[in-house]
Amino acid sequence: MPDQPDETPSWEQVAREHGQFLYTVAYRLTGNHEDAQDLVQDVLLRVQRGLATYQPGSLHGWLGRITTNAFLDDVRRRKRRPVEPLADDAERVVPGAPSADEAMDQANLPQHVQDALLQLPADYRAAVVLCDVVGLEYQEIADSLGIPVGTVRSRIHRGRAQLREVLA
Amino acid sequence: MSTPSQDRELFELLDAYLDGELQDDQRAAVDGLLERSAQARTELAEIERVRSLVRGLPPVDAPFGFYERLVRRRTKVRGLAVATVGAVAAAIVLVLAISPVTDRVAPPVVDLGERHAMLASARAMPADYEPIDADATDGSMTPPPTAGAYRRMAVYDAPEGVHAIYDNGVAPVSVFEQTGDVDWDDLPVGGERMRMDGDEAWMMRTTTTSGAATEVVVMNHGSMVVTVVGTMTASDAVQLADAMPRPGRSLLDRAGDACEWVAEGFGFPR
Repeated sequence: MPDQPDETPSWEQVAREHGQFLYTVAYRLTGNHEDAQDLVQDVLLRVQRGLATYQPGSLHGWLGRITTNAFLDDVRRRKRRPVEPLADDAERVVPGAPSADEAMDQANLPQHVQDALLQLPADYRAAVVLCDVVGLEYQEIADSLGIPVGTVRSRIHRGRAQLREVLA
Repeated sequence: MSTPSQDRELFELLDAYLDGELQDDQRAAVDGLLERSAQARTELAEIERVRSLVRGLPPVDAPFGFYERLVRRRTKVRGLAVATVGAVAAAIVLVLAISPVTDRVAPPVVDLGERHAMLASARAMPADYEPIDADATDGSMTPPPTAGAYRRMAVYDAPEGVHAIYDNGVAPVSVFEQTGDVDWDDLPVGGERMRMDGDEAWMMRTTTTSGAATEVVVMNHGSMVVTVVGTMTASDAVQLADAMPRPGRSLLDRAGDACEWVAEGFGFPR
């Protein structure tokens, strides 16, 4: 899977060729398939708007930044206003019961690590995921989240410290 | 010789040390700590273990057909957007009605849909509408320039309030806000009531004359009623409504001095 396309990819290319990466980041942040799918939909809308200004480079870094920011936006929004589903809507990509493949995926996941990630505050989780799942450098994470590098360092340190406690 | 407090600071650098994110002098200081402190070496090993666990998490596949459905859906939405230009299609209506009088309000859902579809087509404007230069109004009474993925495209002085158009690159959106509380009994049949963090809301799915699916969401927003209309997801509608100035906290407070244009333009009593 090429991470650095020479040309701006199309929306469909992002969805089809980088979908697994995108979904992995979304799942690591949200911890469940339902929210991961909602997050990916949100991200792809942002990707569509951002493709016009995309600079060829690390596509995964770019996608990781968008995904994490969309996730944090959603976390903040939910804090302000818990949202109940408006309605069942066949047009929306709403997950149904887990498929056999999905159930198998979940069974095979090192769930205790994922569970530990979910116990982190969202800001810490975002920093850890951007570092250890997306593979961004601290400065890139700082730029992505709009925070100083020192704060990134602190969040990763504290995030991993909490992971150590949970995974001890 | 380092002090305990300096050592504590160095312990906090162990993650960055492992990630190769320290400057030379910091790295040298941590090297010194690791030489003299078994506890630091143990902690570094623990950090490395946890980091490896996270980095070793396997990729996760989306459910079968997930992206294919998204691509199909996007293609459909894009087609509908094109159709909208020629006829009356779904869009999004953000109406902000300002009045110092709190009242029971039933947004004219159907009429709003028509107006917003007209504006979304970018070909016409309701006769009783007047464009507002949102950037020249101190920003205090206008919907924000952005709301999540949506960007404000235009704001109009409407008979009942302010009508703004947003766009997220997929489909235009609008919001309609009126002072008062929603008169739930006066809304069209077929909608669904719900609660959002204590605020009551109402949602209905309609189909425009061009066949585009259109969501209409009406909700109380502080002492205002916000109606969002357009082709969008439920979360988009909530995000848009959430982004609007919340009256009583900022909107109305600023209305008195900075937004005379609203009161005068709308003809509301002051």
